[in-house]
Amino acid sequence: MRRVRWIWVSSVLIGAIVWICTPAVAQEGNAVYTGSLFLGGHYTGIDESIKRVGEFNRGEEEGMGDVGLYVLGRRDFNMFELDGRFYDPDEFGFRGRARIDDQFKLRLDVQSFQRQRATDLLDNMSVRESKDREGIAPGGKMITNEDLDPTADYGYNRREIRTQAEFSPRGADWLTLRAAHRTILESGDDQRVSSGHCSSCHMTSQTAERENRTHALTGELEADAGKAIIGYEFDYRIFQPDGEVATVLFDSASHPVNGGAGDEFASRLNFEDSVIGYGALPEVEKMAHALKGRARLGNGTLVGRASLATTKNKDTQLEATATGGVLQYAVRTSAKTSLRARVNVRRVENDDYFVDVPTWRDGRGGGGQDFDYLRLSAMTRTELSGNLELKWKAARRTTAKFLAGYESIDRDNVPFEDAGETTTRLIGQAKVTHRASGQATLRFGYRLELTDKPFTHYSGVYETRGNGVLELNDVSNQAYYYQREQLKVMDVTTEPTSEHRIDASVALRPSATVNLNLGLKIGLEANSDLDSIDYERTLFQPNATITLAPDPKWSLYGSYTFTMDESNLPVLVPLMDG
Amino acid sequence: MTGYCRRLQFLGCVLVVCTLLVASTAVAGTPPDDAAYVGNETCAMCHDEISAEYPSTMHGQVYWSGSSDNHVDCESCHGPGSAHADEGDASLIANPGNTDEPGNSEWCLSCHTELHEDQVLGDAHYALSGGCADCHNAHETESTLRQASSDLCMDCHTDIRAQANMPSHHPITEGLMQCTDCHNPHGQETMHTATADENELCFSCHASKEGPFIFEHEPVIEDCGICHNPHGTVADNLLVQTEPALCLSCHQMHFHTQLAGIEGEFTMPVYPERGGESSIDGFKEAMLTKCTQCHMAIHGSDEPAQSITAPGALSR
Repeated sequence: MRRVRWIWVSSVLIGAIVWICTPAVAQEGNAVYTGSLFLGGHYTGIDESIKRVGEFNRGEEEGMGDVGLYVLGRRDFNMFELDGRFYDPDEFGFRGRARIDDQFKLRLDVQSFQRQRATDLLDNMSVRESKDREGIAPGGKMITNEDLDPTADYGYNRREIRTQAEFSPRGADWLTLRAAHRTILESGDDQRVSSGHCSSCHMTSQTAERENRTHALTGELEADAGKAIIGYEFDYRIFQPDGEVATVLFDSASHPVNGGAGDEFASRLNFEDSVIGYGALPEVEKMAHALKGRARLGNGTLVGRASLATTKNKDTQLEATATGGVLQYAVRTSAKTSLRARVNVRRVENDDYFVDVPTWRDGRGGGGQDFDYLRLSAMTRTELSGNLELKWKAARRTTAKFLAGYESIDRDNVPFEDAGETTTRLIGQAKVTHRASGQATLRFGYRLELTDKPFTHYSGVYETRGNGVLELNDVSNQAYYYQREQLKVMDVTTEPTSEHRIDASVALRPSATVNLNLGLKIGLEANSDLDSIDYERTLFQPNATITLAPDPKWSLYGSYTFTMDESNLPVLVPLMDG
Repeated sequence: MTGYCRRLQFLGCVLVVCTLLVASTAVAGTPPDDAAYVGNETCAMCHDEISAEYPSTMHGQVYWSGSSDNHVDCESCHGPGSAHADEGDASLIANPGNTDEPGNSEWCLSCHTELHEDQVLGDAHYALSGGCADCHNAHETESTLRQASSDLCMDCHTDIRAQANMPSHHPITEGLMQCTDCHNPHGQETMHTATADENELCFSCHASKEGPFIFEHEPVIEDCGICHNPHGTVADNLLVQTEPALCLSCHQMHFHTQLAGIEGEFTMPVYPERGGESSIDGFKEAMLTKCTQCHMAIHGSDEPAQSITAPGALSR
């Protein structure tokens, strides 16, 4: 029913464009109309095969009409254009554009398509521990699986309406107003998997309703004062998940073999023996304001932008605030060269969140620890970047670009509280394009990045003890792994400290109907700052593509890409961690 | 840093220096200074086919309004044509459509001044290629683009075409998205994408991933590109590597992966209705196949984990 409503809404909007614009175009004068109509049909027979043909190509046992329409009307400064295709009630798209008297511009896009998702059968989730290496003596740890909706067909329909309007008042063409609205609606079924606790590590799969809506509204005001343009822009966006949240019964924890020790297990968990929703998404609201300016300065142009954005999780009341600015100056330094300098700074602050958990092993010997903590956000940070780029028309057919850049990210609380570690990166890049003739173009690019203190995750793989000394629990005289967690500071990472990228290609067009492209990408990453491993990654990717288009109505395309991606991944099996 | 990398750095520097040494003073063909305007009728004497169609083209319709203020005709783009008309020599008139003379795009930019700004400001195609005519044909009737926009882009960006044909991809080749949904080919203030923050570009469609969440997954904040390649990948969900390799490049494995499993069928003693088939490598299959089977809320979550000591709640 909802999709029918969407088709009606689309039709009304498109009709409105035609209704508004036709009188403007159809005045006397040299009006031009062109158009085409496509009528067809399609039928798919799948004979009980799975429905999924491709992620965006669905197979349904059905026959359906297929309609395409294109209309263009134009006269002087007035025009409208409609371009639409109806394939089936889930897959259709329309695009409309209109311009009236060069004062009012309108654009409308409507699109609906289906995305098929794979079904995870969970059949790898089946095992019982063996106490010996021969697989004979059964132990206590077990994993089982169950699909509560074995016939489910996961996927969703995505519909979008986007409108953009621009208006310049007559007699005040220095002023431009822009407004845009966008709605995205996703509806369908998702697969949700939940896991029970240790005593019954039972993976259950079930269907969860997907009913997500995103609305975005943008308004912009721009004033052209001759040598300078200033503007204000606001963006509002809200994400609303309306689907029913999947629930699962987390049964009482107990020893997996004898069913005992229930009180002991219960004292270690956040929840048990209760039905709990899971996989829920929060409602998120975002509001952004920006002041923009562009002015001629000397022989160049200065562009600036200052922005303030707040993003609020309306379920938890968490709020992140980002303030920042961009300043850029671009200038033609000669007939053959231009220079661009750019500085960008941003500060993001996210609320910390107090996580209140039950007292661990409350009332039991060696227990009673309070693990409440303040979740510090990895989002809180200061970012700074700057770069200088030179473009040089070295010859009539040769253009080169050179870039030198600097980036820094100062994360307040990563990898641990008040860490104060700043990731810095130096960037150098050169790109050359040479058009050997009208039929051949050669491109070569090289990029180098040198990084100091690349990003690390606090609870990831680690190679040193970290920020403290492991001490045994006072009461039990044991070390629990929560104590080890607190000591971790990660310093093993696959983030490189040096990265080289080479990108070369040759495009040949021996005739108007033949296009041949040969390309090669090489990437080399390394991190030699680690103590226990020299991380390296190599990417080698040649490709060849040929396109033959003997006639405008059809073309033949062939492509071959070989990719070799090799790395010595620092995967560490943590003996005794837990 | 390895010796191999150092050699590559040196090679890069040499290439840059070599490029700087290449220079030419060749001049693009333009009308001579003393050339005069001759009017459309003169052009039509030879270029009758183009002249006949021009009124119905976008340029012809929008700007050929008949008023003297907006009168744009052949010589508005091609320059004064008297010398060319007299001699019949193609080098005596400007041809913005000749991609072999990219400097001729200045004729286009003299009217499209906003693009002139952008091509200087941004990472424009203009500076790197054959100019506007690489993508546009001013004489086209329906659109000035030479092909549908994404096909046009991929004619040059063949590596992206290859990625867009990989098993997991944004629906570009299906025609449900255009390259211009994310990129501005005329250049912009950012290096690659149409918004200042590349993550923000992703969140404009995938708003559910943005948060803020109580339990964060830091790479989501850092850069979506750490885990995803938006153009297309072999791995599912646009992941740059398949699971679990991608996850294990930052995280350690569960210790359970070291456990051996029994061979044969089993049932849970406490829940006899539950059971299955087990093997010696069963724990590896369970724990090292796909991390997101259990850690579904990989972009962040507000829900607590079951265990008190767990640092986050990606498990649910």
